[in-house]
Amino acid sequence: MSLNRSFFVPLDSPLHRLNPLTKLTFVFAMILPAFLSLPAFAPGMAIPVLIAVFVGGVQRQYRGLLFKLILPTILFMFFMQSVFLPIGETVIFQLGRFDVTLEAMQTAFLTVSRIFVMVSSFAILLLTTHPGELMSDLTRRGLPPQFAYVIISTLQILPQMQAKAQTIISAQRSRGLDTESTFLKRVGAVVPLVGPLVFGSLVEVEERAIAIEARGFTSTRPKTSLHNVPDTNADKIIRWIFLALVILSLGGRIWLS
Amino acid sequence: MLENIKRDFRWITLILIPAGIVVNGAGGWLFAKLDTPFYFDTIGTIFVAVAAGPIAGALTGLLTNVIVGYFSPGYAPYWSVPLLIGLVAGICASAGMFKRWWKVLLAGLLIAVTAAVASALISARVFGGFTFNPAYFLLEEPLDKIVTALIVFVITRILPERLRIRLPCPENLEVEELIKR
Repeated sequence: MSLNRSFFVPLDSPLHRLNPLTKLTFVFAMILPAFLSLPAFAPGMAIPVLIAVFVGGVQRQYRGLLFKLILPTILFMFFMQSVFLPIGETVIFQLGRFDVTLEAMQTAFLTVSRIFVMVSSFAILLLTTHPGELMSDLTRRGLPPQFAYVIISTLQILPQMQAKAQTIISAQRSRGLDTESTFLKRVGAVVPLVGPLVFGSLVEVEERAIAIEARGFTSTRPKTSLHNVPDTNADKIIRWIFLALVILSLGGRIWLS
Repeated sequence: MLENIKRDFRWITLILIPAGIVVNGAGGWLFAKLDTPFYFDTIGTIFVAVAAGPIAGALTGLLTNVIVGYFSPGYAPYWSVPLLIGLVAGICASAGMFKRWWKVLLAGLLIAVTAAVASALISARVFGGFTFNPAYFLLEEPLDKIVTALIVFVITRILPERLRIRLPCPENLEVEELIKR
């Protein structure tokens, strides 16, 4: 698990220029039909998602994510579900004492395509949108600033996670802590590792608390923003189109079933 | 209910949540490397739940899962497990179970049962198969959660006073109410 990766790719594509809320609408306009509309729809939703990758000009980064992250997971899930799901009659072939049926494979394909659409569309949002921009736009529209703070600071400390763990383990090893020999010694190493981890974080909490107080975060007066995130008429039209598509697809589900 | 959420979410809670996520992530990574029978990937969740209430704990667990799940999507279907861990730990704490060490053992067991049942149900749903693994159910999960709960208990005991009085845990809130009156 490599955690020190920042997703955002600074480019100037039509997708980068869109308002963050529009891109968020796009994400939900892909996910909701894939999960809630007719099962036949779900694989089809992959097409607009892949088009968006090219519009955003982030093919290279997306390909990396696809091969390292998305494909291994969905292939594993497809295999597990098609072998172990105890449904269906049309046996295609047998694997050990498990029957691989047509119905199980269809269900597995549906699950996998839903996951593909969900992960990919979020990946596009993260690749083309600076998290700060997304949050300042959403705060302007009425998202509680407390919530935005939690999300933003979580994203910021992400790269620190592994670095922090590495620092602690190296520091204690340099003091002669045994982390690699017998079982009992390794269990004994728990205390000198948990201590710095938790108390180090608590010291950071205190520092942040002071910083936040000093910057007037707790003030109830209206705040101004340094960044001005543009929201054009085209954005509004695109958002309405996406909303209409979601309603149509859900309506189609009710109509046809 | 809404009153409770408001009470839980003062600004110190907002700083505790990301810190809890880092403790979860770094802890999980650290102890996966150490190769002991403990996972220790919920220390942050349980600490935030004890220090700042069930909702904050649940949010810490959920966000940890969302972040870790993004890097390895295999975890993503299990989003409700850390959420439940935070919730149960917070409820145990507000019932006063993190005050005596033997009650902490019980709280750890409760958390472990919740986590084991929830993750088994999700495995059955997602992977279409349910395999009962006694070593996991009877040993690994309870051991991990009980030790984690004990660690959190020890932390709350030896926490510096200047930090402890800032935490929005039930005891401090009672004192605050008394002062207000």
